[in-house]
Amino acid sequence: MNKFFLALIRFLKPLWLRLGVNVTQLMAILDVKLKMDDRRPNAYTHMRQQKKKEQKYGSLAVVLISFLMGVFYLFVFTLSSNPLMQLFIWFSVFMVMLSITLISDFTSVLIDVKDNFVILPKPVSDKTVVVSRILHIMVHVSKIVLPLMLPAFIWLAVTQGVVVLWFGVLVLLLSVLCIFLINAVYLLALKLTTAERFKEVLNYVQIIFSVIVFATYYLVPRLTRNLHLDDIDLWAYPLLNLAPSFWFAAAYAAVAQGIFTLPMLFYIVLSLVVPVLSLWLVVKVFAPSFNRKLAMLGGSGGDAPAVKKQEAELPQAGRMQLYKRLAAWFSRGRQEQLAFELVWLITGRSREFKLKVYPSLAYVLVYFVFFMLSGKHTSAAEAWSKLSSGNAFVILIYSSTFVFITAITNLVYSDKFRAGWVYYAAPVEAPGPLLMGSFKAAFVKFFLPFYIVIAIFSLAVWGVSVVPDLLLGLVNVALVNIIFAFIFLRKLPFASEINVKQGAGGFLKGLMVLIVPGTLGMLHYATTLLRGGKPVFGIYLSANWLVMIFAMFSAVAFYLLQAKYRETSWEVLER
Amino acid sequence: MQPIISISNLKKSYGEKQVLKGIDLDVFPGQIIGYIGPNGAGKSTTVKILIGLLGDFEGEVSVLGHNLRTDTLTIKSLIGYVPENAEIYDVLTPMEYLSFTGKLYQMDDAVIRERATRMLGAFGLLENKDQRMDTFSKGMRQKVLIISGLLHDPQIVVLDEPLSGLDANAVIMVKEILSLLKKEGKTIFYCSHMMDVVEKVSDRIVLINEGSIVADGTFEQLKQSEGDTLEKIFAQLTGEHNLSGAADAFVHKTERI
Repeated sequence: MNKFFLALIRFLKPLWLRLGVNVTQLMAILDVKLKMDDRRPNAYTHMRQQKKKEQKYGSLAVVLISFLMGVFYLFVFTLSSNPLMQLFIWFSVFMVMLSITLISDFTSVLIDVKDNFVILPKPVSDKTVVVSRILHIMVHVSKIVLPLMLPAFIWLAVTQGVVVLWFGVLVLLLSVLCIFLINAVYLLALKLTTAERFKEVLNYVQIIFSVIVFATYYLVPRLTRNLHLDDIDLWAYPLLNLAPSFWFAAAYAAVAQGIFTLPMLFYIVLSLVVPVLSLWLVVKVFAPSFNRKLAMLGGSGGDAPAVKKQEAELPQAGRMQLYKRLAAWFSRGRQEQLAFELVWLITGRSREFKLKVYPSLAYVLVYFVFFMLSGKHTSAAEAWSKLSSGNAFVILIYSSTFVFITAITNLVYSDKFRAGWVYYAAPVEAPGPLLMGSFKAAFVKFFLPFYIVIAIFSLAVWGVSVVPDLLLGLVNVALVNIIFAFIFLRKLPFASEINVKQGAGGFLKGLMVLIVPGTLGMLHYATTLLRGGKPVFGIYLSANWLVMIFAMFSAVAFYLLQAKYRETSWEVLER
Repeated sequence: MQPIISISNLKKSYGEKQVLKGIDLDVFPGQIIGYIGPNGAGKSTTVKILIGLLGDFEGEVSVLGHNLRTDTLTIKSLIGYVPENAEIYDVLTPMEYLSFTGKLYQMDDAVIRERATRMLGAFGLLENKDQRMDTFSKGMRQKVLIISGLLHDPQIVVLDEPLSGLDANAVIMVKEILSLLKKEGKTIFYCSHMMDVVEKVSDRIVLINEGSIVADGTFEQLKQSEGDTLEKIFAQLTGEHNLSGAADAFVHKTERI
């Protein structure tokens, strides 16, 4: 696949020469970069495969996933019979999708800090570097764009014929435009903030975007199911002229329907000129400043952190920091406490961890909204009233365990995993207390706040009557979490490499994730059915009594399990 | 004699903090400059400016008569750089990596292959030449980095802590290589914290502290004015007079309040 792209780029040699690029160097850089892409899992597969195993042939998986998403996008053609509307939605979805991919890939591809030491000291002009970066991104992007486009391409080819070629051209131009936009955003961000802050901001952008994508997939089909887009005339909204996807849709519609009026021609021109112009801008204007900024990213501010550290240490002198107090409250023994503190601090500072875990917090909410919408409702009000009369809070409570599971499964990984030697060098009798401390930190930091939000939401919807359920839920969920810890938190925190393959039994483990909270949830749900104190087998049982007994059983189980977990020995620890 | 590197009144600030406060330095062909200073003194900033990584500095820097600001690419092609923190594309093999860097210096494939093979052979890495470097030890990576810095036969070699991770034999060899390069008239800019090595290899020692040059001369000259070993001279000039007191405080609980 790479050879094909390289040949294609070599074929365009005159263009690069005209841009003032050194072609030999360009080819050398691209060759190496593509080779490296193949040999390590890229950011895209990384982000997608949070819970799945890491695969060896990442780029093939990307192609496959993109193709599946492309098939999914075909739904936009069912929403409306108007090609303008169809294409407008398709192009918009496409743009958003591509931008997200680019944002996550730009961090790993464009801001490869090693470039500072490897490429920048060599006599390579800024233009060559930037063009190589852009082309690298483009090749990378084509591996996503082409399969993504293919289903729609085939669909349009079948339904509308030759005009599909124009569609293909437009998709490619739109891709160029996306690259430019993201590039511009990056530059702007780099101008406005410092490199370190920028990485931080970027981290959150990635998190937000991945949540949006997730939400879109789940919610948009639901929301649009009853939409009658045929009645909407897009031309009535002049503001749409600001959206590039609208120009492209109009440009397509113009050719497809053979309307070559002046405004239509204008859209065609816009679609052609703006991407080309943006490419030119990136190469000629953005290139030099980008490299200079990039050089700053490579840890040049050796003095800045020293100053910061001193500031940070000042408040310590006064009262104890929150996390230390929490650690002292929740932990039994020094080792638990130190693991609690370590996990608390690193989870708050590691971008990699945040990127993996924070979206999943939002996913649970998205799932829930999805669930709410999945019934047959005609209006939001009806959905709401149905919700408050039902027992959906049980699902909400038990689905919260997924938050915890994401947190603890990622807890063991770190790109600084080698620092884990310290556990083995130090005189640690058994890793149990360390694991317990990590478990508690994850529980307090990631689970409890989330549960409180759920509790507040539930109280708002269902009223005070759910209090016993919330309490039972808390005990049960704690039980589920300790079971999860038994299954998933079997390594010391932040001491494993991310790319190691999961051991055998991955499927079984995955099944447990559903079965354990599912079973407890079902039992809990059964108790809610007894609400109102109907007699069961002739015995008059109040639901609250049942809830209490249930909670006691769970609490005992939790206590026994956590004691056992705390005794985890070196022998059973997974390396 | 015309200096090969000429730095005058070089200043550089990160934000409000001024890292270099006016460096003046003329380096002549065939010299081995030992560039030393405590952590944060501005050593690596000077190096980064010299190899063209940092553009926004004040003052003038010229290499072989080329102005660093305007002729950055020409200067980059004259310099070979061995970075300190072993940054390397480690999913590549040494051969792939060296052919890549060689191409960036616009060398012919045949020349790259010949030199890379020869240099890898000299370092005893020939049998590893087609293995990916992610399995390499730090010393092996460092050897590849040294080769990649010298592959294009640069006029000026900038070495930043080049011996880190190397075993004793490799250290001897690198020192030999340095003296051979010097005989060929190459200029070497050697940054290190290992004073005994700097003392032995350098013709001239430049010591900077807090962004300014505080000593500049041959080891003999420095010895006369400051102390008998480079370590002592270093401690003398960088303000740490009571190092043994500090060491004592490190080991023992001190009584003084």
